[in-house]
Amino acid sequence: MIETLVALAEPNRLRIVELLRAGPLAVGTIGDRLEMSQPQVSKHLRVLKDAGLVLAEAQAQQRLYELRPEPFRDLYAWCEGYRKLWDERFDQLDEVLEDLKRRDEKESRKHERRKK
Amino acid sequence: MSAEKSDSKADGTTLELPSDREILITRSFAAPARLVYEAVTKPEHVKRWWAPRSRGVMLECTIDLRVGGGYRYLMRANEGGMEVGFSGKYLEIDAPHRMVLTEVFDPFPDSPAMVTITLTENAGTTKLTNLSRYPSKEVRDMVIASGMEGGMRESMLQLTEVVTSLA
Repeated sequence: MIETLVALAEPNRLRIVELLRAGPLAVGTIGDRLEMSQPQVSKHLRVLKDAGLVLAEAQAQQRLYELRPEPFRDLYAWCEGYRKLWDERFDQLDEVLEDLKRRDEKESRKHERRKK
Repeated sequence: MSAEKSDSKADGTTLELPSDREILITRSFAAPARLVYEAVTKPEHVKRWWAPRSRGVMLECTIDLRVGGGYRYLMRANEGGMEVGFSGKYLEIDAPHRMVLTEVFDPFPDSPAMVTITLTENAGTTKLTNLSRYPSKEVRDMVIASGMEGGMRESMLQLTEVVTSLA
């Protein structure tokens, strides 16, 4: 988990990961799209590979880099517990708001009756 | 990581990590902003939602809603009976649209987080955002880990280690 986050904390690596979400790409293509030099891209891909976030596949004459889903699933699971905590709170807040809306409804009906 | 987004249903709660030390929580409510504001700032209402029933019960809820005023939330976790307390001060209040406050988790009084809450109303629906900014990436990550089911105690221990090592 920490390795994933450390690897993604560098902005250019995050850009590479976001680019690869659409599908595998070669080093040269990544460099062109993100306007980075090939050595720079290779350096970042090495870090991402060491963190288990990408793997290289030989395809015809090229090596294509693609994302591994597992660390992202772990990341999602890690965030999900905390998101659920807030989701439960907010479900309970929904109940409170329903009560407050009913209260306001009653109040305004009272005022309506008084006016008549 | 603005790419990091997590939500289970379109109208539910979303969690984003806009930077390495922030957590952004967003949710929309079918109520006007003034009612949402009331529900999140009056103790008699906050008591009813702040502690998720599946996780614990609220023991204490005090709010002094003014700039420089303080608040205190204390709950007892169902798991292990641990007491979990937060307190802080209001730095900015622009009712019912925006509030900025500090947030301190009891065991770590010297690591306050900065929380910005905004309420934006549109056609009877109010979008609430809760942006928490932590003193470090490590603390932010431990806060997220604390949300994992059964992870509370473990992450408290880890957090103690992290904070001790940063001192």
